[in-house]
Amino acid sequence: MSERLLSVEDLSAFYGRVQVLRGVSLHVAPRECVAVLGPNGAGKTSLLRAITGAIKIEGEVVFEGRSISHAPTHRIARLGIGHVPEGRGTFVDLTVEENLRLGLMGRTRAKEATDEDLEWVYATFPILKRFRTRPGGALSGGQQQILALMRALLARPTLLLIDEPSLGLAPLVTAELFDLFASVRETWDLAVLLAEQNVRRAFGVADRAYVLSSGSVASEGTVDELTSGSDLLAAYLGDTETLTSTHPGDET
Amino acid sequence: MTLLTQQVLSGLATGLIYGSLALALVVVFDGTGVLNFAQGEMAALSAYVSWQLVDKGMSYWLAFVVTIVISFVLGVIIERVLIRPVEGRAEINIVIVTLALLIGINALMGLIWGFIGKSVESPFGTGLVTIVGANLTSQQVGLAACTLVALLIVGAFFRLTPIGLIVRAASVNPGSARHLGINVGRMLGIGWGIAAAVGAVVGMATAQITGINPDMMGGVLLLAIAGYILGGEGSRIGAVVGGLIIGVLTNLGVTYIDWLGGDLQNLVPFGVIILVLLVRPQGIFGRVSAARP
Repeated sequence: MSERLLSVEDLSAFYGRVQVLRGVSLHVAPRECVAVLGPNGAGKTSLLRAITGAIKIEGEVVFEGRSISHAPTHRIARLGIGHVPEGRGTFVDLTVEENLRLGLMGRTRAKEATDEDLEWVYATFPILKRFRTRPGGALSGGQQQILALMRALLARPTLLLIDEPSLGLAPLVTAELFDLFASVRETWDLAVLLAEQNVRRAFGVADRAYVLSSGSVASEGTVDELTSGSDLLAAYLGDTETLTSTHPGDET
Repeated sequence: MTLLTQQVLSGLATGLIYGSLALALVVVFDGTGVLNFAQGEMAALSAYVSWQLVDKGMSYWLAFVVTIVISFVLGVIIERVLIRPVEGRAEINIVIVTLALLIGINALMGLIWGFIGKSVESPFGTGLVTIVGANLTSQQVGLAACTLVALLIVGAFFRLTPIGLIVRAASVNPGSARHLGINVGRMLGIGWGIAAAVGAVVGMATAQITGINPDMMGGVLLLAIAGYILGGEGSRIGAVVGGLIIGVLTNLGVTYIDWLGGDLQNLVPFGVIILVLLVRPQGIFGRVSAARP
């Protein structure tokens, strides 16, 4: 618990005059999977974007002992933080293989056997191999989600941020995807910060979780703590209702 | 029939020049999201640079290569100094900067070299070359070969090199590219450099046909824009094909329609622009993007 890969202290962020994050603090240990839960508009996406420098922030973000609070996004990525963004970030006009190769090129640490990793992806997902000359934008939503995850993984990040992988996917595809997370974490030896609305799915893969509500942390704990203390989940659901009834303008 | 072949071939030769400038427009548009209205003046400036180098005693082909390098650097600098500060704002901001650039470069050229034209000696001689029964001047063939080589090099750069892939990625999805550690700003700069380098080839080729003066690229830019729109906004291959078609159509129009001569020949590119925008706004190769929202 004492060892920290990522630590976020008192993080606030704004879109114009609307405050979307209010003093969020959290941490991720090496090889840990941490879920960020919360309803729409709770600030999950903003939190991930804040960590990767895509929006302006107040507060402190420390990765592997160095502050990245004001570093530009591409430099943060090169330090070893991968990001599977909301909307999957597909390079729609580039082929599937080019999408994957961009992941390989994003690799910074000298890690050998790049083409072997590409072959591993193709062996694991023959569908990507079959469609490798098609434009990325022609893939289905689920295939693009897998493509996004593989592209980020090929860069060999130490920490992977994943934004709502289940959004817009059929339940069966979502189930497959989460099985994939579990196995990929073992194979690639990485820490994950997973933003997700689907609590049950997230608890299936996460070690710990933070519950966001209206841009601040409403509760946190290990998955066991959060599932046994049903009052905590009730608080989360209760917050959902207050959010929608009293702060309709806070949706992001 | 020979007249037709002749006009088609020489139309293709000049079409390559329009297509190359259209390609430069596409490369900038892909990265920056606007038409660079100064692309023509930048090419004219390159033509002046090569003229100056030759005037100082450099051989034509050495000056040719040096000018391309200088133009690349100039393109990178223009993006860094003038475009980057307005990048990310409304497109009209960037458009106005490119218009300012057009006027500024034009005035600068007049200031340094004067408004009276300078002639350029062609390195291709004055002979005739016969291709499938049509007679073309050795200059036409030489210029076509030059632009064709330039196009192939640029195509190979984008298709085959890792850095070309990264430049494309940065323009297709800048946000996602940043998450992979790509410095998007630097890639846009490289895009501007490449556009300026291609423009330099166009400027030096045009200089051999019309001579050099500050306004030499106005007409060529119009034809390039017509080719760009015909080929399809954002398509590199489309830009080249569009330029070729415009070259041939203009040539055939002037040949077979008696009253269509002189400045009236601009009716052809204008007509094409209007027709394409009415009938098929995305152009021949234009893509209705495959992206899901």
